[in-house]
Amino acid sequence: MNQTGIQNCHEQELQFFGAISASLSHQLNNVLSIINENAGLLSDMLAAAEQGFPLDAAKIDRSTQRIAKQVNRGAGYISRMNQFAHSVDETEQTVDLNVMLAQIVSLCQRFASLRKVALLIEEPAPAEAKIQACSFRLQHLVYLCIDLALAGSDQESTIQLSLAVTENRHRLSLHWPGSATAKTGINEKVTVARQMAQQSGGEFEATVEAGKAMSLTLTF
Amino acid sequence: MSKLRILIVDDEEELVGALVERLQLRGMDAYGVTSGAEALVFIQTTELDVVLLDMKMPGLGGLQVVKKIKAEKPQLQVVLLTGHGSTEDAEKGIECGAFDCLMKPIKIEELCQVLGKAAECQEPPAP
Repeated sequence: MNQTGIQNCHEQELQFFGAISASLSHQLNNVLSIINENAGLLSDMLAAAEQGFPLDAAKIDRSTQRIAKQVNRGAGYISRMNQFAHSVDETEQTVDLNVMLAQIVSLCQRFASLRKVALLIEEPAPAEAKIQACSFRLQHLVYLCIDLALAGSDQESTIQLSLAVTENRHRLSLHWPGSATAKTGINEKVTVARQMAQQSGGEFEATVEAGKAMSLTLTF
Repeated sequence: MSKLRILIVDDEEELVGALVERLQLRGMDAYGVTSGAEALVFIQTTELDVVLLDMKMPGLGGLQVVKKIKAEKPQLQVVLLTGHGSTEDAEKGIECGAFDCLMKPIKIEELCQVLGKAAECQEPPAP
């Protein structure tokens, strides 16, 4: 790969890191906002009680439960953020594709949800699907595929992701109903995903024609 | 002065629930919905002074909803909520006709102040 190609790859990777970090920080901010409002509501109720209004135990219980729920939700985001941040630690390691797929799908759920699209990992998953690779690059590659699929989807549709292992080849497929109308930027996204797949030693196939069901396949 | 009538629109249901109660405790008529589409239906059936609207929501986003509200009910004020540090979203929202934009997490005193100012601006000028 020439210097321009390497620089392009680095830019793509940085954009990916930025997109995931921004999404997680946005979700954490939402968690803090809910905690802030419910803690504020408790404080309002106490202030009202000091003025002689009776405390409503059910309302207090509901707000404290909401806070506890958001603390758990926030802990989940922090755990995902931490795993994601550490995925750049090793340039090559044993990657469990089932785990990697679940992680990146989880990180992409908000992008899908904003477009009112569902991401679904098909069952059953292969019993064992491990390869030697860079975890960060693999996640980036799957992210590019999901991003492409989201760009080519209409609202209320479902993108199905499936993993298969045959004769030491690992194949990740994405299928979705496609869109009745041609979407802009799809061909550019296909080009980038293909380049990044080649960079990672994989193969990439895409069927993205407006008005037809669409699919992407990554093979390692 | 009559009670302020506020609609809170945010896909985070537990934020909407708590905020509705906090504004009610401060003497406002506060309502909540969890999508832009619900908000557009709600404003057709209920007299309101201000809509407090989250920018990032599934389906119809905040900017799209502001444009639709302003097209249908230009006198109705909209205050946007954003979780982003960037002022870019806020500027876009103001360009679309929003009265102001507040960052989450919200400070309740600041929110009440902005809602009050927005409602005042909604009143038609004296003849």
